[in-house]
Amino acid sequence: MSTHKLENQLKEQQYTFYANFATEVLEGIRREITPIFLRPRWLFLGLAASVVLCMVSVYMQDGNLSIDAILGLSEYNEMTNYYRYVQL
Amino acid sequence: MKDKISNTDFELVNKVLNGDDSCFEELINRHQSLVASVAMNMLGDWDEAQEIGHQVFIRFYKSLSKFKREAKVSTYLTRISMNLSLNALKRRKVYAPRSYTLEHAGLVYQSDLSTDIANKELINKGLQMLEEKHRSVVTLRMIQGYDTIETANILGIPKGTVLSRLKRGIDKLKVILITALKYEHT
Repeated sequence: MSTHKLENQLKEQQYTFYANFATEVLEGIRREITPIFLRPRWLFLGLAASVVLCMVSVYMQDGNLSIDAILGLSEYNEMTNYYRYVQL
Repeated sequence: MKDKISNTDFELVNKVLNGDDSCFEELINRHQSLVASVAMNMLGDWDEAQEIGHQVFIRFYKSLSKFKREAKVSTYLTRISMNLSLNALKRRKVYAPRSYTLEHAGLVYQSDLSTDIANKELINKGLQMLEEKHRSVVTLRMIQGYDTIETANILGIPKGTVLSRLKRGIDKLKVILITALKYEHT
């Protein structure tokens, strides 16, 4: 095998990545430069965790998770409202 | 799109720095085969080469503001590709020490060898059997076509060392490929 032949064959050792390589790299860059707490996955998890904490808080205060408890109306009734009105 | 194609690399870099990320896509398309070739010839593993390819462009994007335009974009990318490939080889050595036998390189299992070794895969496997210092010089000098001075600058070694490693690398590669052919024919 001649050195010249080997050198010519070495020049053929060229490779190319797949067609959508550039798109994937750009997506990777977007992921890298977006702060972790602003990434969709973490945003969704943060939101879900907040809702769960609110529900737990409501349950601990009112002992149930009715719509009234969530809206803060569980202790509301006509008589309480009336006495308040009379006191005023 | 036509506008981007006619832009030089430095003009594209300026546009990216001004917020036009689509110009970076053009830069990737222009240079991805260069990065692929360096990574694949250094690592010999397509999946690993793709991973390195991603890292090269992400690193380039992050360092754009520091890019001083003293070297061509292609040379800068080659340097990043080479450094990341060498780091990957170091990691590989830690986790799985490399074997230098012909059998492990897969050279003796080539069933479709032609006598003129017109086989890209075979040559790649032969390259993987070279020492990293020889492989890096052969890759840059013979495959990527950089001249001796450029190769020396990319690798951070003296010009004389490039020449001696190139000679040694080519000689070793010839021996490896000839031995592989003898194995095949016996």
